Amino acid sequence: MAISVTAPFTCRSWTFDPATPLPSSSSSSSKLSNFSSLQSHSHLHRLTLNNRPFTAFPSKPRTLHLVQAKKQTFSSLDELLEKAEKPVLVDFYATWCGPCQFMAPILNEVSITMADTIQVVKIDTEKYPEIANKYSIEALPTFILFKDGKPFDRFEGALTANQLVQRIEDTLKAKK
Amino acid sequence: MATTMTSLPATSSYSVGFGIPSVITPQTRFHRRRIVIAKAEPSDKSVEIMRKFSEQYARKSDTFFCVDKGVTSVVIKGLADHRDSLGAPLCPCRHYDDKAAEASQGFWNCPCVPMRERKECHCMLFLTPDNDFAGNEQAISLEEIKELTANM
Repeated sequence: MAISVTAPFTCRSWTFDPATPLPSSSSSSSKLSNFSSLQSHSHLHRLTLNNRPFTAFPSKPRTLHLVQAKKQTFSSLDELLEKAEKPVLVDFYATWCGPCQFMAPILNEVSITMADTIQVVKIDTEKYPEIANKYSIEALPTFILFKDGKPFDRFEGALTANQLVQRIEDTLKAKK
Repeated sequence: MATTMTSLPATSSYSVGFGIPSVITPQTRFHRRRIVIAKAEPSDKSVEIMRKFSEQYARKSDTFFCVDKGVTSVVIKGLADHRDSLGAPLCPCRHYDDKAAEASQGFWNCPCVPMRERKECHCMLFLTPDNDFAGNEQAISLEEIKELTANM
């Protein structure tokens, strides 16, 4: 799994994949491009994606075909953070990190219940080590809550859904 | 995690590296770029070795596996994966600048220094009895590991 943005009301993941499959891409490893779609809240069905990582998809069509969806392309995490309208919770994880996998369904749940408040993005630190280095990630999972494009809160380790929601709410409330 | 392993690095959870073919051998990987690419699945032999190690070490340290054995399974596989690719079971729950260097240095080789000194295992593999997530088991079978990581 590369960078995936978990959408509200769905168990969907979006992946940001390196631009290598595209002929015009640069060789920079930090370039990411993908199409991601935001679904309107009134449409909860017609999911072509479930919780499975993008690896299940064929390489070429990264477009998500969803009803009344808004497509967005991001060329990097920075751009995503810049353009985000809500605070973004970024989960830095690795495939074989136990607590990270433990958090996966919890993050899904939280992204749904807090759909109006935050956006959830997951970053595979093995696929994007340069991003992990940029934010000095050490222990996994590390969660960074970005507000206005800047790190706002940062914590490590697994927690329950309630603890996670509490932490996010407290942080956003306190430092407003 | 990944339901299939493809040969395209960009779409597989397990192959990393941009423009690097997935058939590269470990030696080539180390020399060409200092990225260690995680293979899709660790070898059965390494998984078995790390499984046995985990059981013995839990007993020896009076720690217990997580109530969710899926966590235990994933970490054991992560240790096995590093054992395969680096020669040492580097902690899978950390991000490293240079994995090979870390593996030779040894601080984060399982059992890592924080575990040995303070029984701190942030991988949730070895949990002290007072930990909220600690179960009451110190054993895990290969079948359990396979079952619980089958969707990865």
